[in-house]
Amino acid sequence: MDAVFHASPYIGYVYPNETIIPWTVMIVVYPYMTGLVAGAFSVSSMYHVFGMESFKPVARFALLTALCFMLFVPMTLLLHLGQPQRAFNAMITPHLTSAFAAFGYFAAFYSILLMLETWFAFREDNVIRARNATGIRRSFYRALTLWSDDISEKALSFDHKWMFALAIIGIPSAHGLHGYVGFVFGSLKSREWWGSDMMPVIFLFSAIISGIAVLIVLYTLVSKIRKTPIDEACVRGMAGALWGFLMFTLLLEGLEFANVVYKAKEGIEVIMEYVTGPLFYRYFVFQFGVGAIVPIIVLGLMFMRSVRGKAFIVGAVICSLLVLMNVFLMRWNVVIGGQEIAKTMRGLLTYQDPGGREGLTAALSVLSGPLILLFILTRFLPPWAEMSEEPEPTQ
Amino acid sequence: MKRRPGKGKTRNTGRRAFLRSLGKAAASVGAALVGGAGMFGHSSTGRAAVAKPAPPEIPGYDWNKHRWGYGIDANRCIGCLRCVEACKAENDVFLSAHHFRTWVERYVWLDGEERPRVDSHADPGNIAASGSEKQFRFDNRYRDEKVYKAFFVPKICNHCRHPSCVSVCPTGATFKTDDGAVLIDHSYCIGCQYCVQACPYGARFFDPRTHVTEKCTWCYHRITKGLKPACVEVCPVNARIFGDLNNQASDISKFLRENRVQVLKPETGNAPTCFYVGLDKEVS
Amino acid sequence: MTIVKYSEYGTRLYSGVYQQTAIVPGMPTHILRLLILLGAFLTTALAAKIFFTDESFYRYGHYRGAAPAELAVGDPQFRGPGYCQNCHTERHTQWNAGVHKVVKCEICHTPAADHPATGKGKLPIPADTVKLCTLCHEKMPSRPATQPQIVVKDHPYPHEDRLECITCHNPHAPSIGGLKPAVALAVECVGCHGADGKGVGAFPALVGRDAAYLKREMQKYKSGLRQNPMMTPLMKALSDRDIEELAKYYAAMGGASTEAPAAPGAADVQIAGLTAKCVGCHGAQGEGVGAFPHLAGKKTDYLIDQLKNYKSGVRQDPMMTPIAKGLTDEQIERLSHYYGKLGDKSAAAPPDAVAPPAASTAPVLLTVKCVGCHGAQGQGMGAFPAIAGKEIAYIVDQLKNYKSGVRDNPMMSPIAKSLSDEDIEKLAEYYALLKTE
Repeated sequence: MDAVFHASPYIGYVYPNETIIPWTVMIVVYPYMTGLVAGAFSVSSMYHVFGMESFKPVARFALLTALCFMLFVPMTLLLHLGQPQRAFNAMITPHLTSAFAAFGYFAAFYSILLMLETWFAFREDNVIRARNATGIRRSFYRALTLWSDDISEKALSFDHKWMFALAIIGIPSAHGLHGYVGFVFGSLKSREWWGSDMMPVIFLFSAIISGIAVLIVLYTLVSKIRKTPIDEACVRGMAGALWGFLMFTLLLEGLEFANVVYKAKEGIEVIMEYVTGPLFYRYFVFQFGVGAIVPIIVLGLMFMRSVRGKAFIVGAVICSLLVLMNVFLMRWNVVIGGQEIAKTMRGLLTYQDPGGREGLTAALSVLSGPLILLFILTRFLPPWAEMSEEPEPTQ
Repeated sequence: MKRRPGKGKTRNTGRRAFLRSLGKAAASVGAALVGGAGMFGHSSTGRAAVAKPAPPEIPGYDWNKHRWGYGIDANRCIGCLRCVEACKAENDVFLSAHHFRTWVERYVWLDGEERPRVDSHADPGNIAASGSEKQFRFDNRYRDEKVYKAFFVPKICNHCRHPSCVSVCPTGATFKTDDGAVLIDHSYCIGCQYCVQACPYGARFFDPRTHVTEKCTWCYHRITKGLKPACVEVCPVNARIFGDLNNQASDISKFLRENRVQVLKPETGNAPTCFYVGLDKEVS
Repeated sequence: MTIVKYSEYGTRLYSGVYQQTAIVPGMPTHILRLLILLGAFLTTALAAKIFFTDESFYRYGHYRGAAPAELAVGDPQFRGPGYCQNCHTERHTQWNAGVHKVVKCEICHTPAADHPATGKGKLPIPADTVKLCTLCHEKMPSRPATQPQIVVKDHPYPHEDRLECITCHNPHAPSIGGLKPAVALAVECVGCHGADGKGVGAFPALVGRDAAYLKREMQKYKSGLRQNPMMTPLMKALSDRDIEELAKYYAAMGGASTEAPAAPGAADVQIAGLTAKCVGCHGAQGEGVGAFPHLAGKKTDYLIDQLKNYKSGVRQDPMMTPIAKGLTDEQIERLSHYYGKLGDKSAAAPPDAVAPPAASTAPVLLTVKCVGCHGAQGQGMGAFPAIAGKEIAYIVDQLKNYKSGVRDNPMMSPIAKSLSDEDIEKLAEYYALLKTE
């Protein structure tokens, strides 16, 4: 075995073993992707549970997006593990006292739920495609429909009932999954920066905004590629939700920081040194300022001034991109930031990209995986609501 | 209900086998729940209700007869770092300045300074003094300074009674033995490093050779043979004390009886079984 | 041409249509198949979980019950002094009686592990004792005051001089009360007898000599029974206790050097007649008996000198004087050559011995000849003047004066004559730069 490790530079005093930061950018991407899943699922359930018609154009697309990201979430952890081939040990003998142990079950449960929801949402389409196709394509769609081509009124009623029920279960599951990811950090008492009761809630709300933002971006992008008109009401609905949740997220994050500062427990000196020093731009300027306050103001102004048409779409997409950056920075500042403050409370470390399978390149590759999968999946399961009655044959 | 002998015996075999396997599954789930509940409640009596299984097969050793404890008299430590070197040699610990099962810190207050200057032998200045990451010595950087107060503090895994590393392990690869040691099952560890994060004392590290987590075992292969941990064995000034808390005549019992001891970071609730004499409020 | 019903999902959601549909009764086949698939998956997963759960898991808690026993396997590397004692009994006895008994063997000699069972050979003897000993004994602010500590740069023979701590200190049984003055006293001896006490030129070796012999001879110098322009004043300055300490110190320094010499190859028959007078006290091979010193391996020049001293009466001894007076100068030379060659110590010197100063040497090594009188730092001692910090030109001039005979002194003249001009300049530069505190 090669013995490769990456020690981080530090100032002050840190425990000798701390100089190797255990969790890298992979563990930043892990909650980021989980958050996108939870957020995207929330968008789909706006239609599937609450029947909000304006979300209809993206409802099934959101489901596929959530599914694609979900399938890549375990990849981040597997790449991080020292012994990935033993990953199932956590499922064979899950340790109930560990916030990490349930992840396998949570993720498996939620993945299945997502697949079922998707299966029901696309079943009718698939039956029609199976009927219209020949050869391998026909066999493929037949298999996808479990060799049943019952799309009678009664069968569809059943499907929709199940979809509704699954979405009802899915909302708490998605949010539970993500709140739980926050709990993974919040339940640790060893780090002042993490050990907070608000962590799960903050993670949850930032998940929702990231999911909405990614859908705004992907939906407009896909519409541009497919040269189909963008449903402005849909974007407006999503942007509205984004605006509301974003304010709530900012409030929670601000409260969390205020809690740390006002309580001023042991180690506050080093935390203040950190947030006013290395963290200043990452935290105050980009996460809070550019990533949250700017989109809130821009979106608010656009709603106030009743901006419409292309200008609104462009504004919403830019705000969404800023929010995506905000959420990524929030994950970074929590995961990496927490580890940059030494447990000794007398020193600060500086994270350096380790490269290799846990490095930034690998992380970005994993992050692009769901997008590629989504591109492929939409070839086989076009989620567009305005789909023609005759499914267009893919060349 | 009484089962009539002979009748329906063969017919029922399949069903009974199935029921048996179901029972086994239920038992294992039940055991998991009981074990888990015990851990959740942090109760020491959780397992007492169940009959105790035979101790692990360690020749000449019964872990039910021992309860180990560790003591550190920081007043005595001379910072020679023989303990660190011995630990690395005894346990084949990765030889670098970033992987230690035990280490020594130096606290120095200079005249007029409110907070101490802290370093360990892993500090670049000290590595320069020793000439290599594989050797250990403290440089004499405060030789010409006006020193107000100064001392060394040896650090080691605290083998806590409520170890946060054990509670966060997702698989059960790390555990607390009945005789008090917190150990790692290297063949079961998945290398997630959650325990490295959870330890408030920085006592754990990820071994880049084996890709699993490592930590102090109190030299479990020594103490089960009646020897002392290597660091205790080599300490020339008896700053490190180890022994059986069950034995009133042991070094550690004597140490606890004769001193008023402290533990590190008591506010974490981890309840270390590594007891200190000669700590300062600034030692964390 | 079928209407895509999914698009009607939203409009029908709260219209009451779905509310009339049950989830389970009248289940269509595709849902049934889906449930069977799910059930199969769950059963497989559960079976896998049970199958892959280690048999010993949950035995003692939430972990593999076999793990503790596995972790208890392994041979200790540090075996403890008791293990070393099995073979190194004498060392162990010496060590165990001294203050260093808290410093276990394996701290300095690395863990024994399976030594000597495998072909690993010997455990290392620390090469750089200055580095090793200062780990514990360098004066540091954070060390407890009870720990014996030295300020390295102020200590005689600091590291820069490349002399080892063990030159003066016995690592196995250093003595804090008794040895320290001896070490300080020895400073006066090393000028002539060498830093290692093994002798320099015509000056005899002291190490390994019997303590009783050393003590007796030193007392002779002190009382005037034995006379020597260098030794007499030095010994007169010592107390009886000092003499005893010094004798013990040098005797202890080379404990093992009195080993029996190899049998002479071609024994000179004639010599046998002469040695008959010696062997009674000094042993058949000149190895020394009890308080009688060994002769074998002594420097030939030294033996000649001493025998002639006895003969001339410069040195007096009730036993040696009459014997020496009975020898011709030629016999004295033959005897001295014989014993000088017997067990040539330079050939049998232990590999770790400090190398004798080479011809062209660093000034620090030349200072061996000075420090005995002028002090470790050239600071001067008693009547001997300070030389540290003097002008280079002055020191050069004076040494050259001694050498050429312009200046004459029974101690300085022979030393200066032994120095090359280059050595003189090196020494002068060295001392000129040494600052007196």
